[in-house]
Amino acid sequence: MEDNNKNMEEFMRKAMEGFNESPSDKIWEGLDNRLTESEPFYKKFLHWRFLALVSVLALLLSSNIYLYNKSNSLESTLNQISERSKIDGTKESISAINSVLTEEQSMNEIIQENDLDASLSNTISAGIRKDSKLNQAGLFKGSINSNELNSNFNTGTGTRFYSNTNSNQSILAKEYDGGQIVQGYEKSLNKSRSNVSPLQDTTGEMNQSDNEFGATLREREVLELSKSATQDIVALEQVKTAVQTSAVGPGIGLQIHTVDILETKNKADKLKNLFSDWKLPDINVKRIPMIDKSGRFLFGLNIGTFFSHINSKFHSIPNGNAGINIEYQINPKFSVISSVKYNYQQYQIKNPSIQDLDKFPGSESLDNVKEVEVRNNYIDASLGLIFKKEYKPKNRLFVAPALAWQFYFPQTFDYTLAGGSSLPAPPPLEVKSHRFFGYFGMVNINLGFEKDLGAMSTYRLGLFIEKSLISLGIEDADVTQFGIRSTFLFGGTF
Amino acid sequence: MSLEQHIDQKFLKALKKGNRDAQKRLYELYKVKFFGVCRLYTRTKEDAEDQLQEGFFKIFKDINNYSGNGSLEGWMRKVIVNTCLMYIRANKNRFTAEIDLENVPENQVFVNPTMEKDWANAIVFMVQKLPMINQTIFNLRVMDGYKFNEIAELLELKESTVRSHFLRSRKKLQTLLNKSLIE
Repeated sequence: MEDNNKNMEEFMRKAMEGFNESPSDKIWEGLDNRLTESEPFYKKFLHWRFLALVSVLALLLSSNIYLYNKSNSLESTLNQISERSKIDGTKESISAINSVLTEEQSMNEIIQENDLDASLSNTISAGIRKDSKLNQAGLFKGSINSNELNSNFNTGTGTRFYSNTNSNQSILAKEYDGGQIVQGYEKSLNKSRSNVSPLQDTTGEMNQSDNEFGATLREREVLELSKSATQDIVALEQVKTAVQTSAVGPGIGLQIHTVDILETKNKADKLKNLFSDWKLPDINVKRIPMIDKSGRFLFGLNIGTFFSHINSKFHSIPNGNAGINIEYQINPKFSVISSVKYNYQQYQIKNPSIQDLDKFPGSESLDNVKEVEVRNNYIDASLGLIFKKEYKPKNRLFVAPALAWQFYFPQTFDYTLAGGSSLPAPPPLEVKSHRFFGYFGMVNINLGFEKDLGAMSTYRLGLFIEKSLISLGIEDADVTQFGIRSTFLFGGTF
Repeated sequence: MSLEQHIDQKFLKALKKGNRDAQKRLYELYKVKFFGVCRLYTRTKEDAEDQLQEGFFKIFKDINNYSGNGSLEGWMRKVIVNTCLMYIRANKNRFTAEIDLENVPENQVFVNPTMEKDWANAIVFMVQKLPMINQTIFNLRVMDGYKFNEIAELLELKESTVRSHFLRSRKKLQTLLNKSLIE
């Protein structure tokens, strides 16, 4: 009986080997179509070489944006240093000029007393002090003093030394050439010159020994003066080099003062050395237990609405964004997430002050601005991580921190003007900028829950808050945004 | 030359890369064999074709999960059978109101095979006339060599129930087969 059964089973198995009925040709056609449909359009982009290329391009782009932002801030730092130098120079020049005037006044009093010898001695020392103080103040404009005094003393040695000094003075004058300051100095110098003029007659009567004595004194003083001026030039060159080449962040430059020059240079050198020694850490991916074959890509569409907060005067209206997500799920709890979104942002400032409108284009010529409406369009690209915790089957809570880069399209500023007491309000004025901006950027965090809709699809809903790391847009707005974002994700195993 | 001998490492690599030509070649190699499997586990030719397509689709999508240990044909057959079992589970309600084989008129069951291929068709025909649960258990046990406890686990049934279904289906098939052989 048992054998019979076994024989029957064997017979049936054998008989089935002779099965030769072919399925319909449509089966392959259908299969082919299904395979084509299921093959994601992005699959060809997932090759590691392509991903490596995209990563390199992204890195280059972001570093470019970073350097662009940095160069702007360096430029403004240099401008601020220049402004600072002018201010410092002005203060010192005023005190130096006052001092010169006081001393020349006393010289004139002495001359008036017809004490030639004494007045000659005082004249020389006053002249030297005058030059020395003006040099210290950093205010040189050619060889006005020196030539004048040279002609007074008419000695070959004096002329030679003054020539050397003049060349240094000219360089310093270039460095410190602050327009009005120099003019102010020249003006006060002319005044000094007119006060000194009685000396010319007197000095003409000086004997040779007096000339030689005066020249020796001047040689010594001028040598010191020349040395000091050369040091100043070197120091200034150093600060320029340090600011232009160092990796110091925005704002540090503002602290730079003549005293801090060398310190800054050292900092820059240290930073340079730090980065020249920096190498990519040798990470063996195989050693990371989280990365295994369970990884999968998820692709998604997102849409969100948000409010922007800049300060209490800025009133944001609900803004919107929409974009795409690409995620690589390393394991069920952890993914790398990136997204590209288009954002529309709009806010208003009511009754703005002049300070509020400081950086707004076209506002300079406007009086009585009642309201400004700013409209921004920008693309942001973010890169971050997402951590998930399952709280019931197919439902998870998530937290996703990320960094974002912004690419602003030209901005629009609408000004509404207030009318006069008897005049109607003029029509609104629209000003469009034609500048593009790239920023790094923003930091954001997204919190919420997600639910699996099927094996290949997930819905995600979350609240987000993001904060700008730098001031954005023409108006230099320090923006905080908060809102809600909904995402539909689909994907599979590769 | 067995079908397995057509598959070398290069071919397997192409399959794992999703090369369409390789996929078509694999399909052509195994379509008849696996169509027979699907015919045994389903009721109609159309259903069998659907499951064949679904099974091959899964094979191509999951080919990277094939470790290389063991025969590819065995792995593929397992995928096809699992696909058929999923189809059976999904159509559970449809198959509960089965016509019992004993009530089927003999002229509907009877086949007169004159060639080997007809025997294969005759077996398919007879197996398809079993109640679905019996058909599945019989196929898993006889055609695919599963043990009773494995079948019980797969179908979420008691082992004793599986055994009883199997014995009943074998007895019925034996009767039919004997009749066919005699006639």
